[in-house]
Amino acid sequence: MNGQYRHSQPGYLTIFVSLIMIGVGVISYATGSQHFGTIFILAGIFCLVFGYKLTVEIKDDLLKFWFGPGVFWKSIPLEQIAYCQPFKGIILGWGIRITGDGWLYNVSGLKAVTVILKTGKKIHIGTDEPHKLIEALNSVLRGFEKDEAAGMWSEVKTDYLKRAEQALSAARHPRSFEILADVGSHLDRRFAELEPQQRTWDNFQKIITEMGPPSDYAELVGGNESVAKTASLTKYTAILTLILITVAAGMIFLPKMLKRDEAAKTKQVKSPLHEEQKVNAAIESAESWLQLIDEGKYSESWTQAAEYFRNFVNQQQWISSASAVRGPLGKVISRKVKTSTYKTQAPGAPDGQYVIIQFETSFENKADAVETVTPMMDSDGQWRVSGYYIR
Amino acid sequence: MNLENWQTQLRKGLLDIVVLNLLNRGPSHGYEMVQTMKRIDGLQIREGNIYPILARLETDGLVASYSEPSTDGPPRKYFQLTEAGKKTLEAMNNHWDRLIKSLESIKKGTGV
Repeated sequence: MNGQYRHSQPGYLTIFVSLIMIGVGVISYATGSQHFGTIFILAGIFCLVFGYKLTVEIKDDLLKFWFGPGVFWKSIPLEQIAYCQPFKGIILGWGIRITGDGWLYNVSGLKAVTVILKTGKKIHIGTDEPHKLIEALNSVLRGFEKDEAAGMWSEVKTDYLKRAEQALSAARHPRSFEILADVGSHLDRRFAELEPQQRTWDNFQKIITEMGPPSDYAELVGGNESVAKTASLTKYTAILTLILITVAAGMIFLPKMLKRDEAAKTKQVKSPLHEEQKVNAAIESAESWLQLIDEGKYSESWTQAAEYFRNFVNQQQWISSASAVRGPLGKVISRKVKTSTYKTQAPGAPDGQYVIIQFETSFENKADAVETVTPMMDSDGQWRVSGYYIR
Repeated sequence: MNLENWQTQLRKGLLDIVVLNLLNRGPSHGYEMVQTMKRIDGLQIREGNIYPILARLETDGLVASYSEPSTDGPPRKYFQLTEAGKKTLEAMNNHWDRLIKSLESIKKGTGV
Protein backbone atom coordinates (compact mmCIF):
# COMPACT_ATOMS: atom_id res chain seq x y z
CA MET A 1 0.00 0.00 0.00
CA ASN A 2 1.25 3.45 -0.86
CA GLY A 3 2.21 5.56 2.14
CA GLN A 4 3.35 2.81 4.50
CA TYR A 5 5.38 4.38 7.24
CA ARG A 6 7.14 3.37 10.41
CA HIS A 7 9.54 5.38 12.54
CA SER A 8 10.77 5.20 16.13
CA GLN A 9 11.94 8.27 18.00
CA PRO A 10 14.41 7.45 20.79
CA GLY A 11 13.59 8.99 24.15
CA TYR A 12 17.12 9.90 25.22
CA LEU A 13 15.99 12.17 28.01
CA THR A 14 13.48 9.61 29.27
CA ILE A 15 16.24 7.00 29.37
CA PHE A 16 18.51 9.40 31.24
CA VAL A 17 15.82 10.39 33.76
CA SER A 18 14.78 6.74 34.22
CA LEU A 19 18.36 5.71 35.01
CA ILE A 20 18.67 8.56 37.51
CA MET A 21 15.41 7.44 39.17
CA ILE A 22 16.69 3.87 39.39
CA GLY A 23 20.01 5.13 40.80
CA VAL A 24 18.27 7.29 43.41
CA GLY A 25 16.03 4.33 44.24
CA VAL A 26 18.98 1.98 44.73
CA ILE A 27 20.80 4.50 46.95
CA SER A 28 17.65 5.15 48.99
CA TYR A 29 17.07 1.42 49.37
CA ALA A 30 20.65 0.84 50.47
CA THR A 31 20.53 3.67 53.01
CA GLY A 32 17.40 2.37 54.71
CA SER A 33 14.54 4.16 52.94
CA GLN A 34 13.23 0.91 51.51
CA HIS A 35 9.72 2.09 50.64
CA PHE A 36 11.00 5.22 48.97
CA GLY A 37 13.73 3.26 47.18
CA THR A 38 11.36 0.57 45.91
CA ILE A 39 8.95 3.14 44.52
CA PHE A 40 11.73 4.98 42.70
CA ILE A 41 13.24 1.79 41.29
CA LEU A 42 9.88 0.53 40.03
CA ALA A 43 8.94 3.95 38.63
CA GLY A 44 12.35 4.19 36.93
CA ILE A 45 12.02 0.73 35.37
CA PHE A 46 8.49 1.55 34.21
CA CYS A 47 9.63 4.82 32.61
CA LEU A 48 12.62 3.12 31.01
CA VAL A 49 10.64 0.23 29.53
CA PHE A 50 7.76 2.32 28.27
CA GLY A 51 9.56 5.53 27.51
CA TYR A 52 12.73 4.58 25.71
CA LYS A 53 11.09 5.15 22.35
CA LEU A 54 7.86 6.18 20.64
CA THR A 55 7.01 4.38 17.43
CA VAL A 56 4.53 5.66 14.85
CA GLU A 57 3.26 3.39 12.10
CA ILE A 58 0.86 3.77 9.19
CA LYS A 59 -0.27 0.36 8.10
CA ASP A 60 -3.46 -1.41 7.07
CA ASP A 61 -5.57 1.75 7.07
CA LEU A 62 -4.52 2.51 10.62
CA LEU A 63 -2.36 5.16 12.19
CA LYS A 64 -0.86 3.39 15.17
CA PHE A 65 1.62 4.51 17.81
CA TRP A 66 3.04 3.03 20.97
CA PHE A 67 5.60 3.57 23.69
CA GLY A 68 8.51 1.19 24.25
CA PRO A 69 8.02 -2.42 23.10
CA GLY A 70 4.41 -1.89 22.05
CA VAL A 71 2.56 -3.69 24.83
CA PHE A 72 -0.02 -0.91 24.79
CA TRP A 73 -0.78 1.10 21.69
CA LYS A 74 -3.28 3.53 20.27
CA SER A 75 -4.62 3.19 16.77
CA ILE A 76 -6.76 5.53 14.70
CA PRO A 77 -8.54 4.34 11.55
CA LEU A 78 -7.33 6.54 8.71
CA GLU A 79 -10.91 7.07 7.57
CA GLN A 80 -11.56 8.95 10.82
CA ILE A 81 -8.75 11.42 10.17
CA ALA A 82 -9.62 14.74 8.55
CA TYR A 83 -6.11 16.04 8.15
CA CYS A 84 -2.85 16.58 9.97
CA GLN A 85 -0.49 19.47 10.56
CA PRO A 86 2.64 20.31 12.55
CA PHE A 87 1.92 20.81 16.25
CA LYS A 88 1.55 24.55 16.82
CA GLY A 89 1.74 24.68 20.61
CA ILE A 90 4.66 24.64 22.98
CA ILE A 91 5.79 21.28 24.26
CA LEU A 92 6.70 21.23 27.92
CA GLY A 93 7.84 17.84 29.16
CA TRP A 94 7.45 14.33 27.86
CA GLY A 95 5.00 11.48 28.34
CA ILE A 96 1.23 11.26 27.97
CA ARG A 97 -0.82 14.25 28.97
CA ILE A 98 -3.85 16.34 28.12
CA THR A 99 -3.30 19.73 26.55
CA GLY A 100 -5.74 22.55 25.92
CA ASP A 101 -6.89 20.89 22.71
CA GLY A 102 -6.24 17.17 22.95
CA TRP A 103 -3.91 14.47 24.20
CA LEU A 104 -0.19 14.72 23.59
CA TYR A 105 2.08 11.68 23.37
CA ASN A 106 5.86 12.12 23.17
CA VAL A 107 9.17 10.89 24.54
CA SER A 108 11.65 13.50 23.44
CA GLY A 109 12.20 16.71 21.54
CA LEU A 110 9.90 19.63 21.00
CA LYS A 111 8.17 18.57 17.78
CA ALA A 112 4.89 16.79 17.19
CA VAL A 113 2.23 16.23 14.56
CA THR A 114 -1.38 17.16 15.27
CA VAL A 115 -3.88 14.71 13.85
CA ILE A 116 -7.34 16.22 13.52
CA LEU A 117 -10.19 13.75 13.40
CA LYS A 118 -13.39 14.34 11.47
CA THR A 119 -15.15 14.89 14.78
CA GLY A 120 -12.84 17.83 15.45
CA LYS A 121 -10.93 15.97 18.14
CA LYS A 122 -7.16 16.46 18.07
CA ILE A 123 -4.34 14.08 18.95
CA HIS A 124 -0.73 15.25 19.11
CA ILE A 125 1.98 12.69 18.42
CA GLY A 126 5.60 13.49 19.18
CA THR A 127 8.15 12.80 16.47
CA ASP A 128 11.58 14.00 15.40
CA GLU A 129 10.52 13.99 11.73
CA PRO A 130 7.13 15.71 11.66
CA HIS A 131 7.18 16.59 7.98
CA LYS A 132 7.85 13.00 6.89
CA LEU A 133 4.97 11.79 9.05
CA ILE A 134 2.66 14.48 7.67
CA GLU A 135 3.70 13.61 4.13
CA ALA A 136 3.07 9.93 4.75
CA LEU A 137 -0.31 10.61 6.34
CA ASN A 138 -1.41 12.96 3.60
CA SER A 139 -0.48 10.42 0.97
CA VAL A 140 -2.90 7.89 2.44
CA LEU A 141 -5.75 10.14 3.48
CA ARG A 142 -8.32 9.65 0.75
CA GLY A 143 -9.71 12.83 -0.69
CA PHE A 144 -7.08 15.02 0.88
CA GLU A 145 -4.18 14.38 -1.46
CA LYS A 146 -2.75 17.63 -2.72
CA ASP A 147 -6.11 19.26 -2.08
CA GLU A 148 -5.59 22.73 -0.69
CA ALA A 149 -9.31 23.50 -0.68
CA ALA A 150 -9.92 20.43 1.44
CA GLY A 151 -7.28 21.57 3.87
CA MET A 152 -8.89 24.99 4.06
CA TRP A 153 -12.30 23.39 4.56
CA SER A 154 -10.90 21.28 7.38
CA GLU A 155 -9.66 24.38 9.13
CA VAL A 156 -13.11 25.99 8.84
CA LYS A 157 -14.89 22.84 9.92
CA THR A 158 -12.56 22.18 12.85
CA ASP A 159 -12.97 25.71 14.09
CA TYR A 160 -16.74 25.37 13.99
CA LEU A 161 -16.67 22.00 15.74
CA LYS A 162 -14.37 23.36 18.39
CA ARG A 163 -16.77 26.19 19.14
CA ALA A 164 -19.64 23.71 19.19
CA GLU A 165 -17.70 21.52 21.59
CA GLN A 166 -17.17 24.45 23.93
CA ALA A 167 -20.87 25.29 23.87
CA LEU A 168 -21.86 21.68 24.52
CA SER A 169 -19.25 21.34 27.23
CA ALA A 170 -20.95 24.18 29.05
CA ALA A 171 -24.27 22.34 28.72
CA ARG A 172 -22.66 19.08 29.89
CA HIS A 173 -24.90 16.99 27.71
CA PRO A 174 -24.15 13.24 27.73
CA ARG A 175 -24.54 13.10 23.96
CA SER A 176 -22.16 15.95 23.22
CA PHE A 177 -19.76 13.69 21.39
CA GLU A 178 -22.55 12.20 19.24
CA ILE A 179 -23.84 15.66 18.41
CA LEU A 180 -20.37 16.76 17.33
CA ALA A 181 -19.97 13.66 15.20
CA ASP A 182 -23.37 14.27 13.56
CA VAL A 183 -22.55 17.92 12.93
CA GLY A 184 -19.17 16.85 11.50
CA SER A 185 -20.86 14.39 9.12
CA HIS A 186 -23.35 17.05 8.13
CA LEU A 187 -20.53 19.43 7.27
CA ASP A 188 -18.75 16.70 5.31
CA ARG A 189 -21.87 16.20 3.21
CA ARG A 190 -22.18 19.90 2.58
CA PHE A 191 -18.57 19.94 1.43
CA ALA A 192 -19.07 16.87 -0.78
CA GLU A 193 -22.02 18.58 -2.51
CA LEU A 194 -19.81 21.41 -3.68
CA GLU A 195 -18.31 21.16 -7.14
CA PRO A 196 -14.50 21.55 -7.14
CA GLN A 197 -14.78 25.11 -8.47
CA GLN A 198 -17.28 25.96 -5.72
CA ARG A 199 -14.86 25.01 -2.98
CA THR A 200 -13.94 28.52 -2.04
CA TRP A 201 -13.47 30.33 1.23
CA ASP A 202 -16.66 32.36 0.70
CA ASN A 203 -18.76 29.26 0.11
CA PHE A 204 -17.27 27.59 3.18
CA GLN A 205 -18.22 30.62 5.26
CA LYS A 206 -21.72 30.52 3.77
CA ILE A 207 -22.12 26.93 4.92
CA ILE A 208 -20.94 27.83 8.39
CA THR A 209 -23.44 30.72 8.50
CA GLU A 210 -26.23 28.39 7.48
CA MET A 211 -25.22 26.01 10.26
CA GLY A 212 -26.00 28.72 12.79
CA PRO A 213 -23.95 29.84 15.77
CA PRO A 214 -22.71 26.94 17.91
CA SER A 215 -23.72 28.95 20.98
CA ASP A 216 -27.34 27.97 20.17
CA TYR A 217 -26.51 24.31 20.81
CA ALA A 218 -26.34 24.64 24.58
CA GLU A 219 -29.84 26.08 24.70
CA LEU A 220 -31.29 23.60 22.22
CA VAL A 221 -29.81 20.58 23.87
CA GLY A 222 -31.39 21.43 27.24
CA GLY A 223 -28.24 21.39 29.35
CA ASN A 224 -29.72 21.36 32.85
CA GLU A 225 -31.42 18.01 32.71
CA SER A 226 -28.20 16.20 31.98
CA VAL A 227 -25.86 17.83 34.44
CA ALA A 228 -26.36 15.16 37.06
CA LYS A 229 -26.11 12.33 34.55
CA THR A 230 -22.71 12.80 33.03
CA ALA A 231 -19.80 15.16 33.31
CA SER A 232 -17.84 15.85 30.18
CA LEU A 233 -14.96 13.60 29.16
CA THR A 234 -12.59 16.50 29.70
CA LYS A 235 -13.73 16.87 33.27
CA TYR A 236 -13.28 13.17 33.94
CA THR A 237 -9.85 13.32 32.40
CA ALA A 238 -8.89 16.29 34.55
CA ILE A 239 -10.13 14.53 37.69
CA LEU A 240 -8.32 11.32 36.75
CA THR A 241 -5.11 13.25 36.11
CA LEU A 242 -5.47 14.97 39.48
CA ILE A 243 -6.02 11.65 41.24
CA LEU A 244 -2.97 10.13 39.52
CA ILE A 245 -0.83 13.12 40.51
CA THR A 246 -2.10 12.87 44.09
CA VAL A 247 -1.42 9.13 44.22
CA ALA A 248 2.05 9.62 42.74
CA ALA A 249 2.83 12.42 45.19
CA GLY A 250 1.50 10.27 48.02
CA MET A 251 3.68 7.35 46.95
CA ILE A 252 6.73 9.58 46.94
CA PHE A 253 6.11 11.61 50.09
CA LEU A 254 4.02 9.30 52.28
CA PRO A 255 6.91 7.00 53.28
CA LYS A 256 8.93 10.06 54.28
CA MET A 257 6.04 11.50 56.24
CA LEU A 258 5.34 8.20 57.94
CA LYS A 259 9.00 7.90 58.84
CA ARG A 260 8.99 11.43 60.23
CA ASP A 261 5.80 10.72 62.20
CA GLU A 262 7.30 7.54 63.54
CA ALA A 263 10.40 9.42 64.62
CA ALA A 264 8.28 12.08 66.27
CA LYS A 265 6.22 9.45 68.07
CA THR A 266 9.36 7.67 69.23
CA LYS A 267 10.66 10.97 70.47
CA GLN A 268 7.43 11.73 72.29
CA VAL A 269 7.28 8.32 73.87
CA LYS A 270 10.97 8.24 74.62
CA SER A 271 11.06 11.60 76.38
CA PRO A 272 9.11 10.70 79.57
CA LEU A 273 10.92 7.38 79.76
CA HIS A 274 14.25 9.16 79.66
CA GLU A 275 13.14 11.58 82.35
CA GLU A 276 11.97 8.79 84.62
CA GLN A 277 15.30 7.02 84.20
CA LYS A 278 17.13 10.21 85.10
CA VAL A 279 14.98 10.78 88.17
CA ASN A 280 15.59 7.22 89.36
CA ALA A 281 19.35 7.58 88.87
CA ALA A 282 19.28 10.90 90.74
CA ILE A 283 17.31 9.38 93.67
CA GLU A 284 19.77 6.52 93.87
CA SER A 285 22.66 8.98 93.94
CA ALA A 286 20.90 11.13 96.60
CA GLU A 287 20.20 8.13 98.84
CA SER A 288 23.85 7.01 98.66
CA TRP A 289 24.99 10.49 99.46
CA LEU A 290 22.54 10.84 102.38
CA GLN A 291 23.85 7.58 103.80
CA LEU A 292 27.30 9.21 104.09
CA ILE A 293 25.73 12.14 105.95
CA ASP A 294 23.73 9.73 108.18
CA GLU A 295 27.00 7.96 109.05
CA GLY A 296 28.68 11.28 109.81
CA LYS A 297 31.08 10.96 106.90
CA TYR A 298 30.79 14.67 106.05
CA SER A 299 34.24 14.87 104.56
CA GLU A 300 33.47 12.02 102.15
CA SER A 301 30.06 13.51 101.35
CA TRP A 302 31.83 16.70 100.22
CA THR A 303 34.23 14.66 98.03
CA GLN A 304 31.33 12.84 96.40
CA ALA A 305 29.22 15.97 95.91
CA ALA A 306 28.85 17.69 92.54
CA GLU A 307 31.64 19.87 91.21
CA TYR A 308 29.36 22.90 91.45
CA PHE A 309 28.76 22.12 95.15
CA ARG A 310 32.46 21.76 95.88
CA ASN A 311 33.22 25.06 94.13
CA PHE A 312 30.51 26.77 96.11
CA VAL A 313 31.60 25.57 99.57
CA ASN A 314 34.99 24.24 100.66
CA GLN A 315 35.38 20.97 102.48
CA GLN A 316 35.97 22.48 105.94
CA GLN A 317 33.03 24.81 105.69
CA TRP A 318 30.86 21.89 104.68
CA ILE A 319 32.01 19.63 107.45
CA SER A 320 31.37 22.40 109.94
CA SER A 321 27.92 23.30 108.59
CA ALA A 322 26.73 19.70 108.11
CA SER A 323 27.78 18.57 111.55
CA ALA A 324 26.14 21.64 113.08
CA VAL A 325 22.82 20.96 111.35
CA ARG A 326 22.65 17.18 111.36
CA GLY A 327 24.32 16.43 114.70
CA PRO A 328 21.48 17.66 116.90
CA LEU A 329 18.82 15.74 114.91
CA GLY A 330 20.20 12.36 115.90
CA LYS A 331 19.92 9.11 113.97
CA VAL A 332 17.57 8.56 111.06
CA ILE A 333 14.48 6.49 112.02
CA SER A 334 12.85 6.44 108.55
CA ARG A 335 13.11 8.17 105.19
CA LYS A 336 11.04 7.97 102.09
CA VAL A 337 10.80 9.96 98.86
CA LYS A 338 7.96 12.45 98.92
CA THR A 339 8.42 14.18 95.56
CA SER A 340 10.96 14.22 92.77
CA THR A 341 10.98 16.76 89.95
CA TYR A 342 13.21 16.89 86.92
CA LYS A 343 14.36 20.42 86.03
CA THR A 344 16.75 21.99 83.61
CA GLN A 345 17.01 25.16 85.64
CA ALA A 346 17.57 25.70 89.34
CA PRO A 347 17.48 29.01 91.29
CA GLY A 348 20.92 30.57 91.57
CA ALA A 349 22.55 27.70 89.67
CA PRO A 350 23.68 27.39 86.05
CA ASP A 351 21.33 25.68 83.54
CA GLY A 352 21.76 21.94 83.53
CA GLN A 353 19.91 18.83 84.58
CA TYR A 354 18.62 18.77 88.13
CA VAL A 355 16.29 16.54 90.10
CA ILE A 356 14.79 18.16 93.15
CA ILE A 357 13.98 15.39 95.62
CA GLN A 358 12.08 15.84 98.85
CA PHE A 359 12.35 13.12 101.48
CA GLU A 360 9.96 12.72 104.38
CA THR A 361 12.39 11.87 107.11
CA SER A 362 11.95 11.01 110.74
CA PHE A 363 15.00 11.72 112.92
CA GLU A 364 15.62 10.61 116.42
CA ASN A 365 15.08 14.20 117.64
CA LYS A 366 12.77 15.52 114.91
CA ALA A 367 9.93 13.25 113.91
CA ASP A 368 8.68 15.04 110.76
CA ALA A 369 11.46 16.69 108.84
CA VAL A 370 11.66 17.29 105.11
CA GLU A 371 15.06 16.92 103.47
CA THR A 372 15.52 18.51 100.08
CA VAL A 373 18.37 17.02 98.09
CA THR A 374 19.19 18.27 94.62
CA PRO A 375 21.39 15.97 92.56
CA MET A 376 22.62 17.38 89.25
CA MET A 377 24.15 15.80 86.18
CA ASP A 378 27.87 16.44 86.44
CA SER A 379 30.15 17.06 83.47
CA ASP A 380 31.13 13.36 83.44
CA GLY A 381 27.48 12.29 83.12
CA GLN A 382 27.16 11.14 86.75
CA TRP A 383 24.41 12.30 89.08
CA ARG A 384 25.91 14.04 92.12
CA VAL A 385 24.34 16.11 94.91
CA SER A 386 24.56 19.87 94.39
CA GLY A 387 22.34 21.00 97.32
CA TYR A 388 21.04 19.83 100.68
CA TYR A 389 18.48 21.49 102.86
CA ILE A 390 16.58 20.33 105.96
CA ARG A 391 13.27 21.81 107.11
CA MET B 1 -41.20 44.90 19.74
CA ASN B 2 -38.62 43.22 17.51
CA LEU B 3 -40.65 41.09 15.10
CA GLU B 4 -37.63 39.16 13.90
CA ASN B 5 -36.73 38.20 17.45
CA TRP B 6 -40.24 37.03 18.14
CA GLN B 7 -40.24 34.93 14.97
CA THR B 8 -36.89 33.36 15.91
CA GLN B 9 -38.09 32.49 19.40
CA LEU B 10 -41.36 31.09 18.06
CA ARG B 11 -39.48 28.98 15.52
CA LYS B 12 -37.18 27.63 18.22
CA GLY B 13 -40.15 26.81 20.38
CA LEU B 14 -41.78 24.91 17.56
CA LEU B 15 -38.73 22.89 16.60
CA ASP B 16 -39.58 19.91 18.80
CA ILE B 17 -43.08 19.49 17.41
CA VAL B 18 -41.85 20.05 13.86
CA VAL B 19 -39.08 17.45 14.13
CA LEU B 20 -41.38 14.90 15.77
CA ASN B 21 -44.01 15.45 13.07
CA LEU B 22 -41.39 15.01 10.36
CA LEU B 23 -40.28 11.74 11.95
CA ASN B 24 -43.92 10.67 12.20
CA ARG B 25 -43.80 10.34 8.43
CA GLY B 26 -41.05 7.76 8.75
CA PRO B 27 -37.36 7.40 9.68
CA SER B 28 -35.14 10.20 8.49
CA HIS B 29 -31.64 11.57 9.02
CA GLY B 30 -30.66 15.03 10.19
CA TYR B 31 -29.48 16.26 6.85
CA GLU B 32 -32.69 15.18 5.14
CA MET B 33 -34.85 16.82 7.80
CA VAL B 34 -32.93 20.07 7.41
CA GLN B 35 -33.41 20.00 3.65
CA THR B 36 -37.14 19.36 4.12
CA MET B 37 -37.55 22.17 6.63
CA LYS B 38 -35.68 24.54 4.35
CA ARG B 39 -38.47 24.10 1.84
CA ILE B 40 -41.23 24.91 4.34
CA ASP B 41 -42.06 28.56 4.61
CA GLY B 42 -41.32 30.01 8.04
CA LEU B 43 -39.54 26.94 9.32
CA GLN B 44 -36.10 27.53 7.85
CA ILE B 45 -33.85 26.14 10.51
CA ARG B 46 -30.18 26.79 11.04
CA GLU B 47 -28.74 23.52 9.88
CA GLY B 48 -26.63 22.72 12.90
CA ASN B 49 -29.54 23.18 15.28
CA ILE B 50 -31.21 19.93 14.28
CA TYR B 51 -28.56 17.77 15.95
CA PRO B 52 -28.80 19.10 19.52
CA ILE B 53 -32.59 18.80 19.23
CA LEU B 54 -32.39 15.21 18.01
CA ALA B 55 -29.90 14.37 20.77
CA ARG B 56 -32.21 15.80 23.40
CA LEU B 57 -35.24 13.97 22.00
CA GLU B 58 -33.22 10.76 21.99
CA THR B 59 -32.12 11.34 25.59
CA ASP B 60 -35.78 11.89 26.50
CA GLY B 61 -36.64 8.57 24.84
CA LEU B 62 -38.91 10.13 22.22
CA VAL B 63 -36.75 9.11 19.26
CA ALA B 64 -34.29 6.29 18.62
CA SER B 65 -31.39 6.21 16.18
CA TYR B 66 -29.67 3.63 14.03
CA SER B 67 -26.98 3.75 11.35
CA GLU B 68 -27.18 2.60 7.78
CA PRO B 69 -24.42 2.47 5.18
CA SER B 70 -24.46 5.24 2.62
CA THR B 71 -23.26 5.12 -0.97
CA ASP B 72 -22.20 8.75 -0.99
CA GLY B 73 -20.28 9.13 2.23
CA PRO B 74 -20.05 7.93 5.81
CA PRO B 75 -22.88 5.84 7.29
CA ARG B 76 -26.07 7.79 7.81
CA LYS B 77 -27.64 8.07 11.22
CA TYR B 78 -31.38 7.64 10.97
CA PHE B 79 -33.88 8.68 13.59
CA GLN B 80 -37.36 7.29 14.18
CA LEU B 81 -40.16 7.86 16.68
CA THR B 82 -40.42 5.55 19.66
CA GLU B 83 -43.78 4.55 21.17
CA ALA B 84 -43.29 7.19 23.84
CA GLY B 85 -42.46 9.68 21.08
CA LYS B 86 -45.68 8.87 19.26
CA LYS B 87 -47.78 9.38 22.40
CA THR B 88 -46.02 12.63 23.23
CA LEU B 89 -46.46 13.86 19.69
CA GLU B 90 -50.16 13.09 19.81
CA ALA B 91 -50.51 15.11 23.01
CA MET B 92 -48.42 17.94 21.55
CA ASN B 93 -50.48 18.04 18.36
CA ASN B 94 -53.74 18.10 20.36
CA HIS B 95 -52.42 20.96 22.44
CA TRP B 96 -51.29 22.78 19.34
CA ASP B 97 -54.70 22.35 17.71
CA ARG B 98 -56.35 23.77 20.81
CA LEU B 99 -54.00 26.73 20.78
CA ILE B 100 -54.69 27.44 17.12
CA LYS B 101 -58.42 27.15 17.73
CA SER B 102 -58.22 29.50 20.70
CA LEU B 103 -56.09 31.97 18.79
CA GLU B 104 -58.52 31.86 15.85
CA SER B 105 -61.46 32.49 18.13
CA ILE B 106 -59.68 35.48 19.65
CA LYS B 107 -58.81 36.80 16.21
CA LYS B 108 -62.42 36.44 15.08
CA GLY B 109 -63.72 37.97 18.28
CA THR B 110 -65.73 34.87 19.18
CA GLY B 111 -63.59 33.89 22.18
CA VAL B 112 -64.40 34.57 25.82
